[in-house]
Amino acid sequence: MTEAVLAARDLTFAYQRQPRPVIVDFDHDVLRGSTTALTGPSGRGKSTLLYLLGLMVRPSSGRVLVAGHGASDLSDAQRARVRAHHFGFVFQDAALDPTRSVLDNVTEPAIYGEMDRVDAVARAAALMSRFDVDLPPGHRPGQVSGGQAARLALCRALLLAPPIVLADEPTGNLDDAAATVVMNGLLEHAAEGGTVVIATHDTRVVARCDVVVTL
Amino acid sequence: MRGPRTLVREAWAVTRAERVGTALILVVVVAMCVSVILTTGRSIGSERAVLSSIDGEGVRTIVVRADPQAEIDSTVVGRIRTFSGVEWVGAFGPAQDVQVSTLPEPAPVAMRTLASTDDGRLHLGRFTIDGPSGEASADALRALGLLDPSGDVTTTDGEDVAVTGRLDVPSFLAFLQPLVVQRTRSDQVGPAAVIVVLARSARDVEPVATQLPAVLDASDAKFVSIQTSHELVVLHRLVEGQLGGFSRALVALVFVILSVVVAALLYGLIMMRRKDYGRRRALGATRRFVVGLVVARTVIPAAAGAAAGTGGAVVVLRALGDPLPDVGFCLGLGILALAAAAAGAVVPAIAASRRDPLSELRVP
Repeated sequence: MTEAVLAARDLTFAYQRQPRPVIVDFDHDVLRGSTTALTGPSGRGKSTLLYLLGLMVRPSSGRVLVAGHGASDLSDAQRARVRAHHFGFVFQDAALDPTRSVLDNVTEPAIYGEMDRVDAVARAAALMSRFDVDLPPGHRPGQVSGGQAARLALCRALLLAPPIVLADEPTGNLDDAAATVVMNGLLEHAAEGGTVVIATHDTRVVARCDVVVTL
Repeated sequence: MRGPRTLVREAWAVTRAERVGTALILVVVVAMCVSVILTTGRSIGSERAVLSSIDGEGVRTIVVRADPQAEIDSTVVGRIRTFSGVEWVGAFGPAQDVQVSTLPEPAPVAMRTLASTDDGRLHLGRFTIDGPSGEASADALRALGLLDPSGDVTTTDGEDVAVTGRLDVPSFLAFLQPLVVQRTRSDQVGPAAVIVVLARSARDVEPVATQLPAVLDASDAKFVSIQTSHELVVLHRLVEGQLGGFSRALVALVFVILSVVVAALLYGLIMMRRKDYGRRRALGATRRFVVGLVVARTVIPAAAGAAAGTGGAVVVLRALGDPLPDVGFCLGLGILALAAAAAGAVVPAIAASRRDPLSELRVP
């Protein structure tokens, strides 16, 4: 039986100053090698759940387990280390640093993980070539298109070959062709043994995922 | 996460990437350092110049005059030299007139014996001959009518003393001019009529003068007088630390302001870059890393600003011919600028480390 690399147990989360919780008693196992879509109408907490699973916020109650171990109740520094080594993230609008080069953006996870700069640059170059964003290293995010930015964000997420990739609306503002490239990249990662969880309202994405969780 | 090298490398990259922030920090630190050097630095340079002019040997000199009835001998030098605040001691014997008897109208000049802690102070030569000899100052040679430091002078007792060299009389012994010093054996003990003590600093004059009577071993203190340049010592004390006193308080105020300005500047920069810090935290940066990053990226341009501001201001002072602060002050100023900038960065750094990824990265 395939193991659960990521699990939520009775997860509840409420924003400060909001009377009602956004997530209530969420329980789910994410299996290794699977692609999971978190979907539902806007405001249902798809992104919030994704960030909870990614240990970026503490739940109000309940637990998140990573590789079978409780992770949500670790200290902030420990959770940061788990994020650095176990997760890759594709943020909603790529979240590239406009003051840095595209290469620096893609290699950023190496700062927090255990990868030498030289290896990181080589790996980044390979990924950028694979996803057809072979840009001059000194290029800035302001000089790339939305589709290229999304692919750069994907390269950044895959830099350390993390076991789990979390993607928040990765195809948000993309046309079909660009969205297909990004989705194919995520599916390839799952096919190679990784695990992908995507918060999305894009039906194209939902259709291609193994598991659909509707909030 | 990797160690300090990674942090420093990333801080350097951020410093270069965030040019506006870097430039602002650099300009603020330059301005602060320039203002401190041109005000307090100049004050301190002036204080040093004033003190060095009144801290000369004259103000540090203690003169003990002993009548023969005091029965003080040259062994007093050995006792006085043990004081920690003493730089030089010389015990001059009673004055004995000498003259060049072969001249038609010979002029007398005082000759004295000398026992001191360092004859080199008067550049007494090592040339010795059999028989009585001495060395004369330039003033003494002129007064004696000798063109060169050679020839014989005769004492009032009719004894001939060969002049074998010229001695240099330092300013604090000028009151003994014109002077001939008769050479004696180093183990020879003789009477001491004038004992000159040179203190290490003006601050040491009073304590040394206070201790002297106990070691003079005079038969009767009323035959001994001790003179110091009391007024100059008081002036030295007044000037030292007073001239720059207000300015030092100003320095403290300037760097408190620097910290506050840097803090405000950085806080604004961090608020503009909230998403950046949220992303870093999401990707695995610990709070400690973010705090270190913000402080380090502040210290880097602050260091450049301190060097440029201090160096530039010193160049300006030099061009204006104004007194310069010493190297220690400039280094201390640089360190203070760095510390103030780093201190100012701490609160904004903590604010940056607490950026919530969910709030910063989620697009509504």
